[in-house]
Amino acid sequence: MVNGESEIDDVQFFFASDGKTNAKSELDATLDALFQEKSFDDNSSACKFPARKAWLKEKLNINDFAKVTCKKYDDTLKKLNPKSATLVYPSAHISSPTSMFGHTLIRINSGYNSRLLSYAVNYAAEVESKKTSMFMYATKGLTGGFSGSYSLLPYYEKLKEYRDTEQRDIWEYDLNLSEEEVLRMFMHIWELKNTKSDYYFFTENCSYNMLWFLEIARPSIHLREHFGYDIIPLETVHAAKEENIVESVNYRASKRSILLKYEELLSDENMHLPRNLVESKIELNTVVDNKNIDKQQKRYILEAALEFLEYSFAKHYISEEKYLSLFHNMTKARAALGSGEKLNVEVPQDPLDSHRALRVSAGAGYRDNKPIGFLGIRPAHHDLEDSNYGFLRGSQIEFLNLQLSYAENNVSVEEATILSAASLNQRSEFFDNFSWRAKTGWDRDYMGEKANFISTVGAGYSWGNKLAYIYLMADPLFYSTEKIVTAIGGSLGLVIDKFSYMNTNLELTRRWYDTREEQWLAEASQNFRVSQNLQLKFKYDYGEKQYLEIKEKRETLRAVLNYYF
Amino acid sequence: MKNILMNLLTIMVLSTLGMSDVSHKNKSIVNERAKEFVASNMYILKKEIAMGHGESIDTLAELLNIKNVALFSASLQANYNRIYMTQNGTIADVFNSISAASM
Repeated sequence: MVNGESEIDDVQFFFASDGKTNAKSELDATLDALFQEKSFDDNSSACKFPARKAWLKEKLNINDFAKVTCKKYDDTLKKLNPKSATLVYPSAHISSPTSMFGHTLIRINSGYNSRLLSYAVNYAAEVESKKTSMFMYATKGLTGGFSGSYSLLPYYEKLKEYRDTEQRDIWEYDLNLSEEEVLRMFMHIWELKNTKSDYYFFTENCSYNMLWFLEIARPSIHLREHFGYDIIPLETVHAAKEENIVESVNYRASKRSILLKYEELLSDENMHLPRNLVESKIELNTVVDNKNIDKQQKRYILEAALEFLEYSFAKHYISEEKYLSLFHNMTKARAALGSGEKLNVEVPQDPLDSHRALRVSAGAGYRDNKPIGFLGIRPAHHDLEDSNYGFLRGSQIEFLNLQLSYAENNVSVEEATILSAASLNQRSEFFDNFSWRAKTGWDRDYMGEKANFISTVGAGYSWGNKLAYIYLMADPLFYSTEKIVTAIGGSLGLVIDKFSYMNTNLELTRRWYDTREEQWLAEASQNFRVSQNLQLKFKYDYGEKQYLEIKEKRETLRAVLNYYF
Repeated sequence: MKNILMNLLTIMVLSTLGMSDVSHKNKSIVNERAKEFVASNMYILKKEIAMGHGESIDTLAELLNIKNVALFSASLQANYNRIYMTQNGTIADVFNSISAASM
C-alpha cells in the first residue's frame, strides 16, 4: 500500500471491485468472503488468502471463520517446510547489459541441511526475448509494459540458470528471520503467486518486491524507506544489512569462476588439453593413457573439460548429440581416476563491502595553469575508475552522471552522461569473449568551450592477470555540434587493480574525424579507496585537436574526493 | 552400503526412464523427494559421481538418510560403470545391471 493504493495490479487479488484503491471496502469484502465461504476446498477464499485470514484472526480475534480444507496449500507448506530465509544476489553477468545491475531473490530454507532443497521465490518480468527488440525492451521496461509474476522454484533450478548458464557468481545472505516470520512471508507469497503486477525496471522490479516480502515477514523493518526513485538489486542487500537482518554470507562460484580456477591449476603443458578434448582435436585416451601426465593433473584436465563442455553446450557451440557422448565418455574416464583434490575457489570480495550506488564528488585543480573547481553527482552506479572492490572486474554502468566545473566565474558542464556501460572481458584459455563499451550524453573531449553531445558504441579485446588488465578498443562515434561530425577512435588502456586499497587507470586515445581533424586524448588517474564509501582521486588528463595548422590543447590536473551513499 | 547403492541405482533408473509406476516394488526405499531430486539433477549428479564428491551427492545422501557421505560418494564413484552402463541406457540394460549388482 502506497498513498492508499495497492501496488498489485491484478483484480483477482482483491475481493472488492475498488479494492486496489479502497482499503476499507476491501476489508469488509474480505470479512464477508471468509465468513460466507461458497466452497470449502482449495477454491475457498481462506485457502487462496491464508495471510489475510491469519492477520484478521490475530488482529480482530476472530475464531469462527468458516472451516475449510486447503489441500494444495498444506501440501506445498509441508514440502517447503519453511524454517529460515536467505537473500540471494546473483551478481552481474559479464557482457550482458540488462544484468549489469544484478538481481535479487529470496530463498526459503527448509528443515534439510542441504540448501539445494530450499525454494526460491522468483519475481520476473515476462519477456519474450526472441520477439522483443532492445528498443522495445527498454521502453516497456521503463513504462511498466511488462507484466511481472511470482513463482516458487527449487533452488537448484535457479542455480542452473544463474550459476551455470549465465555464469554469475552467487552471494547468499542468510537472514535472521524467525520461523514464524518466514511462515508469514510464505502465506503472503502464496496469495500472490497467481497474480500479476506491472513490472518497472527501476522501481517496482524484482528487488523491490523482495523488500516487500521481508517487511511482511517482520513489520518492524523499513527496507523500502531506503529507496527514493530507483532500486538497484545490490542496494537492497545493502539496505538489508543496515536493517541488521543479514546474519551470514555464503559464496557460490559461477561456472566462469570455476573454469578460471582450473586455468590456475592446470600446468602450462596441459593448459590446452581440456579445450582440445571438447573440440575433439584430441582423443580422450591420449590424455588418460599418457604416462607423462600425473594423476592429479589428469583429474583437473577431465574436470575442466567437463565444465568447458557444459559451458560450450549452454552457449550452443556444440550439438546436443556431441555433448551427450563427450559427457558420458569424460565422466566415465574421470570416475576411473578416483577421488582427488576438491576445487577450492577463493571467495572474492563481498559485494556488501563495495561502494554504494549514489556518488557525489568535489574536487579542485588546475586547467591550463588556471585554478578550477569540480562538483559532481551520479545516481548510479560504477565506473572503471571507482574502486573495483566487490564489483565484477572491467564492468561499468553509469546512469545520469553530471559533472560541473567552476573557473573564472563560469560554471560549465564537464560531463552529462545519460547512460554509459562497459564490459571489458579478459580473454583466457576458456573464454574468448570480446569487450564492448557504449556511451551517450555530453562531454568535452571534442574540445572547444562547451560540452557536446556524443554517442558511441565500441568493441575490442582485453587481457589480464592478477596484477592488471589491458584493453584495446575501436570506438566509432558521432558528436552533435553545429553540425554532426563522425569519428573513429582507437584506445589502449591499462588498469592496475591488484591491491584492494587502490587502482591506477591509464588510457590513451587517438581519434580521426570525418572533418579531417585529428585528436589525442590521454587520461591517468591514481585512485585510493579510503574506506568503503570514500575515494580519493588524483587525475591528469590531456586533450588536443588538430586541423591543418590549427591546434587546440587542454591539460587538467585535479584532486577529487568521491563519496558514495 | 550395498543396499543403499541398490536403492540409489533404482532411483536413478526409475528417474531416467520416468517409470514412477514401477516404484511400488521398492516403496520403502524409493522416496519421492529423492526421486524428484535425481530426475532434476541427472547431469550434475553424473558429474559429481565421476568426481567422487559434490553438493548434489551430499543432498541425495541426506534425502536417503545416509550418514557416511564420504563412503557413499566413494561407492558411487567406484560403481560408476554400473550406474551409467551406456550413454543412453535402455530399460533392459539398467535392470540387468541392477539385478546383477544386487545378487
